[in-house]
Amino acid sequence: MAGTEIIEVLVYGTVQGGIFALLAMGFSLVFGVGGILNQAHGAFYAITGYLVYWIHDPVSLFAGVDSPKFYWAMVFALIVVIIIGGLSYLGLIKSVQEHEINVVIITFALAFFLEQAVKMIFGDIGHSIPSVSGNEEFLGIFIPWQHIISLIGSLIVIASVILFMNKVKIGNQIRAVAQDKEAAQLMGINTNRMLMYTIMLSAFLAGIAGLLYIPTGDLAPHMGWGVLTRSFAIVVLGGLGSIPGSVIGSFILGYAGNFVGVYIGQSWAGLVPTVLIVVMLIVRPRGIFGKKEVR
Amino acid sequence: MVKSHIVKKSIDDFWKRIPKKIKLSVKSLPTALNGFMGKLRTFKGGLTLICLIILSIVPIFTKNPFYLGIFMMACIYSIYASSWDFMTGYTGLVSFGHAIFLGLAGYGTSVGLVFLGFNWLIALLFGSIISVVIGVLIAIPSLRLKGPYLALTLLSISMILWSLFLMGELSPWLRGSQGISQVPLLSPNPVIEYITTFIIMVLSLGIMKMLGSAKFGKILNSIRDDDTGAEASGINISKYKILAFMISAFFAGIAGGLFAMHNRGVDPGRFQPLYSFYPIIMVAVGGLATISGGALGAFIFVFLNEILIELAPWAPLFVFSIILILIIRFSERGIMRPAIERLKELWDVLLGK
Repeated sequence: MAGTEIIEVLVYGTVQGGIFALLAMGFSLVFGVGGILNQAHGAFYAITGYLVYWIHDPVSLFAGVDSPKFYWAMVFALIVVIIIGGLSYLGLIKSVQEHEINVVIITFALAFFLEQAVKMIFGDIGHSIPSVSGNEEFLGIFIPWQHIISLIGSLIVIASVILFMNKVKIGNQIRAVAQDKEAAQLMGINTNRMLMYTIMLSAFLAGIAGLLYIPTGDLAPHMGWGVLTRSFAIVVLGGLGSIPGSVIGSFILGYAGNFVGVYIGQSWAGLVPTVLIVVMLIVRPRGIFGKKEVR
Repeated sequence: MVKSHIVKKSIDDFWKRIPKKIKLSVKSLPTALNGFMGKLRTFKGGLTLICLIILSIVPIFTKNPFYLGIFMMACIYSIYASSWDFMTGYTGLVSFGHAIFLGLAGYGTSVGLVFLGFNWLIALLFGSIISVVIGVLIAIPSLRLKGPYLALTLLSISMILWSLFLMGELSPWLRGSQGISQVPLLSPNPVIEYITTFIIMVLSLGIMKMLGSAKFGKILNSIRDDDTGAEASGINISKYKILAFMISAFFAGIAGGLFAMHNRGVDPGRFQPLYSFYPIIMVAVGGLATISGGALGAFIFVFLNEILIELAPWAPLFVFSIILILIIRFSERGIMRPAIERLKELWDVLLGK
């Protein structure tokens, strides 16, 4: 049916846009607050999926989403990834903070380390974590329930983050540091601690994105890199350090990617993020909503 | 009539000047030789000479293709790592996507050998030139990018090439995920293969070192350290950045072509972030902004890899990522340099200084 293709693009574009938004917000905030492009961001996403897989015992793996253990595993995985984020800051990033480039290399090495650790424990093959099964019909196409849950989940979390940034004290402090680091310091805000919280928040968001979306597909050790590239593409598109930019950029990427995927070919869809990066950097490095100077 | 008189005079002057030039160069030969011998007598020069001599006589001790192959890979990675160092260490253009050049030249060389019937040298240069051309195309929009943005952009481009080359539809020659195989070896005789690779390594590193120490290198360093200042002094930083890109891409391409020939093939996996990680860890261990650091790191890495891979397939990268984290965390210039400096003191004592 001719009409279903555009529905597919819209639906899957929205679902992916929501997930990307979780990833991009975290990535963008870490940049906005600390000037850091965290290369391990994708790894945080992947690790959460693997942690869920790991904590399962075989019985509940088969029981899937009906087993309460699965949900505890998700909570545990989320907590662990938040801790990993915090430790990355305390142990690694903090000590090399003065030189941007060292932070980038150290997070790059961290990403490899996490990928290899995963290969060590689980082997270099694909796995998957259980998803909610069944499809729902919507305007002529069948959408798996897991995708619907992803969308609802991501919208709830996005809204929560925006609320958090505006209404909760720590959220305000993070925004203050992102806007003007020195002024925030003068106001008595501990910028280092805010950066740590931001990294932990971004790990949390990446983790939630993983929990929502990884069940729709496979788990593979190298999946972090694609996530990193997409997050970078979105923040370049939307403007580094800008939350609204990240959200809007995420949906643009979601729709664009699915458009190319449906109408041109799935394999070409993977090129969209990078093409967007290159084009944006040439045309408007600041991004659509960007405040900070890229160059 | 007047004109031909002037022309004749300039021609006469030209011929007169040639003997002077020859006289000057002959006169300066002893000085040049002196300078060279002087360099040899320095610690670094002597050490380099010893290493080169040892490496060149390896085939006397073993003709086993497996062991020679390890040394060959070390030479190839030396060129690769040094090319990365040239861009990142000397010029400050951080590259997380050097696999771009490794892969493109690998494919270029393979295509040249398998489909176009070139001989190995032409194919090698063909691959490297493709690498340079694409390098320039990438460099031009990247000029305005600061450190981490450039790094991530290059990483993204390497990933786009990874998925692009995985697609079967791109070209029947490139054969999608299978890659190009049955690429002929540089030479059926492993000893000749090794010696040729070794000579190419010495030439490549030598050229890069010369460029790095000359005025060109100093300009690159000034761009790395303070590019606003450099621009203010009248240096055309765009031109030099592009040149640095080209040189780095060229030698990374040479490494890529040699790799393809030694591996007897190339596949899209050559573009993985993995291969972009290798030069970083090698140069971090060996020393940034020194061409020899890349070589040192490469040899250490290749030998360590051979040992570790016996334990488990994931072991080498696992260890390397930890090493890199520790190096960056605790020392900025590469752990090997302090060791070399300590050795240097020993050398001075031996020479009676």
